[in-house]
Amino acid sequence: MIAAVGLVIGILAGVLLHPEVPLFLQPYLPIAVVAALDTVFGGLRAVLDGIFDDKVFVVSFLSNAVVAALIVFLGDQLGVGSQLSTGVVVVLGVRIFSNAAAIRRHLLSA
Amino acid sequence: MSTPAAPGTPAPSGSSGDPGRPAAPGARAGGRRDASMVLLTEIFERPLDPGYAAAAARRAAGQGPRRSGRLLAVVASVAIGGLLAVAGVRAAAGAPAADRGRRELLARIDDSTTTTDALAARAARLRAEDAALQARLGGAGAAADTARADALAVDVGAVAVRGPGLRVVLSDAAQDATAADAPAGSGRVVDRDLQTVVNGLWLAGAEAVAVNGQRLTSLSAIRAAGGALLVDYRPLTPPYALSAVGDPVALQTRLAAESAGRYLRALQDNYGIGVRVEAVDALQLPAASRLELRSAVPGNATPVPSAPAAPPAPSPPPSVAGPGDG
Repeated sequence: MIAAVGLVIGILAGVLLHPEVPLFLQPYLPIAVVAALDTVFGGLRAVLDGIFDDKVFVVSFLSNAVVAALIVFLGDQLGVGSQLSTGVVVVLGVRIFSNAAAIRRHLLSA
Repeated sequence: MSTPAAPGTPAPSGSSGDPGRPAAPGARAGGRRDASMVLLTEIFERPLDPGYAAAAARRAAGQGPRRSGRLLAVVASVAIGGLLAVAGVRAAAGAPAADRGRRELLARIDDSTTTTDALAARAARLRAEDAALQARLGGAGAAADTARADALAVDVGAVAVRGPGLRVVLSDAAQDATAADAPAGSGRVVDRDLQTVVNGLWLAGAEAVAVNGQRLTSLSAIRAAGGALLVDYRPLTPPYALSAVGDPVALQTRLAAESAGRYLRALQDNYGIGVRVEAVDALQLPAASRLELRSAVPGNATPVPSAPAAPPAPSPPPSVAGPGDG
């Protein structure tokens, strides 16, 4: 629950403070968003499964973000940045959908 | 390929493919036929991070969650929320950016349309004003003014004229034809001769007079400077041809009857100056070269009724300059 409060605080801060994204970080923003969503849905499902763990949550978020950024960076250097971005989005998107389905089963029993 | 021999198993004699040996990797591959797609199956079958299950297992083994982990989770949550918000704000700001350009274009179009409308209205107003002014200009008064101006232009020498008339040619006397007692140079045509003849022509009813192609106006001067004759300060070369437009017969008759005619005869008889008078059917007289007034300006705006009935200008004689008189 405290993680949910933190999430709301972060959203509010982002909307109100309006931080400027540095130019060199802008290509990673979409991937970072997908990774963060994956982490959020994973954490939510873990909560509903009753196996949520703070440390795993933090580590999965950090590693997701870092690895996704690394893949995009590497793809940019190799000239296949858009393809690798697509791959990352597909993989994480599948996970997001699966977790969302599990959450739905938990909440709606359907 | 020195496969490590399983303990207790006799080493095969150099051959690796031992069917009887239970090779562990081979057995695993046999268990999972889709091993090449293990990544995909991993994704689809276990979307949840396995770490959660492991942590749950550890917790079940007796290790409680740590405080630091909870704090970290809050920090990560805040970071995730901020990330989502920033991305959302950016995405929301992107659309208005495109929309803003469109709105700006629309505003500019509106502005231009307004300006065009205003200009069109102004053009219509000016056109109406123009038409009104033109109607006033084109009225009867304007026509009268134009006719009067045209008539005056001929009178004052502003335009070239042509018509029948009289030509009087004066030429210097031959040297030997001069009377013996006359002073030297008396056989030359002087400015006074020209002035007299020109005045005589005006008096005889000439409507336009030119000397050697120089149109005379009421301000023209016939002068002498040294031995040369000047009309409007332009030198003339003999012979001097005076062209006068008018009724040739009347001109000739009147010229002969008045003092200028006697003067001409005297010139001819006494000084041997060549005088030739001839009627010409078509004379061409150019416009005067100068028509400016230096001091006179139009009086009050009340237009003086033109006097077409005025007699054919016994015009003021050309101003006669004193010093050059010879």
